[in-house]
Amino acid sequence: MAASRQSLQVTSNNIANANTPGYSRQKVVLETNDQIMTKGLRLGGGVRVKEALRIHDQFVEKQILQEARGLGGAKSRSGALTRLQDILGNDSSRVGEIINNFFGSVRELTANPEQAAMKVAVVESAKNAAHGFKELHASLDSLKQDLDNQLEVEVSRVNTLARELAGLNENISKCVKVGSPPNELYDKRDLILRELSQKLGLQAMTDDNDQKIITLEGVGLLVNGSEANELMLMRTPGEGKKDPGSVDIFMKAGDNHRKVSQVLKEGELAGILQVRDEVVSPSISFLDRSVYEFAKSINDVHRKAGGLDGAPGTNFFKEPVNVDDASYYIDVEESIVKDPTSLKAGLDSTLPGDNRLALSMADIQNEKLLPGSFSAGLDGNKSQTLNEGLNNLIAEVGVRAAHEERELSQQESIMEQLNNYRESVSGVSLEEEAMNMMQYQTLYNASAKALKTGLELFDTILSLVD
Amino acid sequence: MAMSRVSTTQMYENIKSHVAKAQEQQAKTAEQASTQKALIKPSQDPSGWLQVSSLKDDNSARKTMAKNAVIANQVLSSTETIFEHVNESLLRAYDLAVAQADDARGTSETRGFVYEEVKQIFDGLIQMLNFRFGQRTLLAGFKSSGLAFDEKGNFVGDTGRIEVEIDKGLKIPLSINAQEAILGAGKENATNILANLHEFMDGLIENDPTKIRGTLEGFKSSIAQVSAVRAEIGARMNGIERALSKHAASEIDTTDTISKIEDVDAVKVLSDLARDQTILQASVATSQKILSEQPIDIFFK
Repeated sequence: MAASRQSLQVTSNNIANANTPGYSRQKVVLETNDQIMTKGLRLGGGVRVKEALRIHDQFVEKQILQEARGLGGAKSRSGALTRLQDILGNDSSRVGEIINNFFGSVRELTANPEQAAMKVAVVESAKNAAHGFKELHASLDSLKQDLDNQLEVEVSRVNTLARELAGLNENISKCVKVGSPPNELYDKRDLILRELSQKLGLQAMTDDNDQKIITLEGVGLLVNGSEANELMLMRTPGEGKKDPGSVDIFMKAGDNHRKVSQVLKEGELAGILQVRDEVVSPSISFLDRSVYEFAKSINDVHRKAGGLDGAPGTNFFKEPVNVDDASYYIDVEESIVKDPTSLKAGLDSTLPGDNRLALSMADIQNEKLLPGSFSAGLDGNKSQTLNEGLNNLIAEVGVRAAHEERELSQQESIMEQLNNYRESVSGVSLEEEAMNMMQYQTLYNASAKALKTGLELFDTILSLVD
Repeated sequence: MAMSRVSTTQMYENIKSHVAKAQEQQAKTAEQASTQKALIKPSQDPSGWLQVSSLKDDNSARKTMAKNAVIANQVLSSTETIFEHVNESLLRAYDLAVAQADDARGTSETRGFVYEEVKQIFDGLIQMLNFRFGQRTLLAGFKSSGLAFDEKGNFVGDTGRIEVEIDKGLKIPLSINAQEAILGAGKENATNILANLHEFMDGLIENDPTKIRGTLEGFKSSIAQVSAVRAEIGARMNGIERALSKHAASEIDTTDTISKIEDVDAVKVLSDLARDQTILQASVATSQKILSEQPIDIFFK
C-alpha cells in the first residue's frame, strides 16, 4: 500500500508539472523487498519504491545546448539587421531620394539661373538633404545605442543565470552526497544551461560531485562548481567629438578585468556585437564618408565663384572638418540660409545668365566619389557615385539580413525538432499518467483488500480464543 | 528520430506552432495584398532591390533633364522666331535696296521715303534682337538681364554660352552668339548685318546709288548667314526632340521593369490570400477538434 501511495504521489507530481518548462517526468522504479524466512519457508517481503527515476536523454540535451548557441546568434543578428534595413531601406525616406531631389533642383537652376525662386528652391532642397542625412545618422546611432543597451540587459541576465547555476550546483552536490538525487534541481539546472547556451557559446562538463563546470570558449571559466565569475560592460571611448564610444564585454578576474568581446563567436551576445561592429558602425562610417565627399565636392565648385573684390568664394555647406560624424554636422552655410539669392549659379556673379557653376554642381552626381564597397572598408580607389555607393550599402545589408533570416529559420526548425524529441522522451503525457494513476489506484485497492482479508482472519482467530 | 510517444506539452506546442505559421504566412500575404508590393524590404530580393533603386535614381534624373529639354526647346523656338523676323526684315530691305540702286527707279525724293521705312525696319530689328523670354534677353549671353544691342546697333551683351543637360552626358547650348551671328565678329567671311543696313541707310540719305549698290552683296550674305543660324537652331531642336523621345521611351521601360520586380501580381496575391486564410481556418478547426476530444477527458468522465 505504501509503495502504491508513493507511486500515486509521483504520478500526481508529474500531472502537476505537465506544463512546467523543462520538467522531466519521473517514473517510479519498484523492486521486491528481501524475502522473509518463516518456519523453513521463504516468503516474499512485498514491494518497495527503489527510486523516482528522472526520464532524461543526455544526448539530446547536449544537442540542444549545441544548437541553442546557433539559434541565439541567428536570432540577435536577424533582429538587429531587420531593424537596420528598416532604417536604410525605407522607401519613403530613401537616402537616394534625398540626393536625387538636391541634384534635381540644381539641374533646374541651370535652365533658369536668373530666377531667384530657383535659388531658393535649391537652398531648400539642400536644407532637406542636410536634415535627411542627420536623421539617418541619428537613426543609425540610436540603433547602435539600443544594441549597447541590449548588451547590458543580456550581460546582467548572464550574470544572474551564472549565480543561479552556481547555487544549484551547491544544492545538488549536497543532495547527491546524502544519496538523494534532486530531480527537480537537475531540471532547473538544465533549463538555466539552455538559456545560457543561447546567450553564449559554452562548454559544460560535470565533475565528480555532479556539479556543472561552464567554460566560455576563448574566455575561461564562467561557473566552477558553486562559484560564478562575472561579466561586465565598460565603455571604450569614441574618436569623434560626439561619439560616446561603444560598450565592450569584460570578464572580471579578481580586481582585474579582461576584454572578451572580440573572442565571443556564438550566442546572442556575439550576434549583437557582430552586427554592431561589422555592419552598423561601418554603415555609419560609410554614410559619414558619403556626406563628407558630397559636401566637400559641392563646396569646391561653389568656391570657384570669387567675390567682386577678389575675395575667395564661399562654401555652400559648412565645410566638414573631417570624415567622422560628417553626416551629424552637415548644414547649409549660414549666409546662404539667410539670403538664398547669394547662392552662386555662375563663375561670375555679376552675370545673371551664367550657369557654369550650377552645371558643374549637377555633374557631381555622376562623379565617382566613393570607394568600392562599404564592407571592404573606406580605402581604395573611388569607383562609385553617391547613389551607387549608398544603394550598394543598402543591398549588402539586405543580403546579410536575408542570410540571417534563412539561418534563423533553419535553427528554429532544428530546435523545434530537438525539443519535440526531448518532449517525447521527458515530457508528461496526461493520458499516460491517467493510466498510471488508475493502475496504482487498483494496486492500492487490492493491497487494502488483502490487508482487510488478513485483518478478518486475525479477528476470526481472536474470536476463537475468546 | 522515431517518435512513438507524444507528451501533452508537445501536442499543444505543435498545434500552436502550426497555427502561428499559418498566421504568419497569412499576415505576409495580407501585407502584399494591401500594399500591392512584393518587394517591401531589401532582404526579400537584394539584387532586385538594387536594380529598382538604380532605375528610380535614373528616372529621377531623367525627369529633370526632360524638364530642361522642354525649356530648351521653348527658348530655341523663340530664338528661331527672332531670326525668322530678321530674315524677313532683310528680305524686305534687300528688295528696297535693289529698287533704289537703280537710277531709273530711285530719286532723291523716293530715297527719302524709303529711308524712313528702312529706319523703321532697323528699329524693329533692334527691338526683335532684344527680345526677352521670361527674365532673359535671349541674345545677350550671360548678361541676360540687360539689352543685347543698343539703339545704334552696338552689341552690349556677351558671348557667354548657356548650356543645359538634356540627357546623361549631353549638354546643349541654349544661347546663340549674337556678336558672331549678327555682327559677324570672329568669323571669317561673315557679314556685319547691322553695319550693312546702316550703309544702305546712309546711301539713301546721301542719295548715293553707288553706295546702295555696294550693299547688295552684303544683303545676300546676311540672308545666307541668318539661314545658317536658323539651320543650327533647327538641328539643336531636333536633338532635343530625340532626347525627349528617348526619355519618354525610357520612362515607360523603367516603370515597367520596376513594376515587374516590385509589384505583386494582383490576381495571384488575392488567390494566395484566400488560400492562406483557408489554411489558417483549417489549422484552427483541426486544433479545436484535437483539443476537444482528449482521451484524458474520457478517463475522468
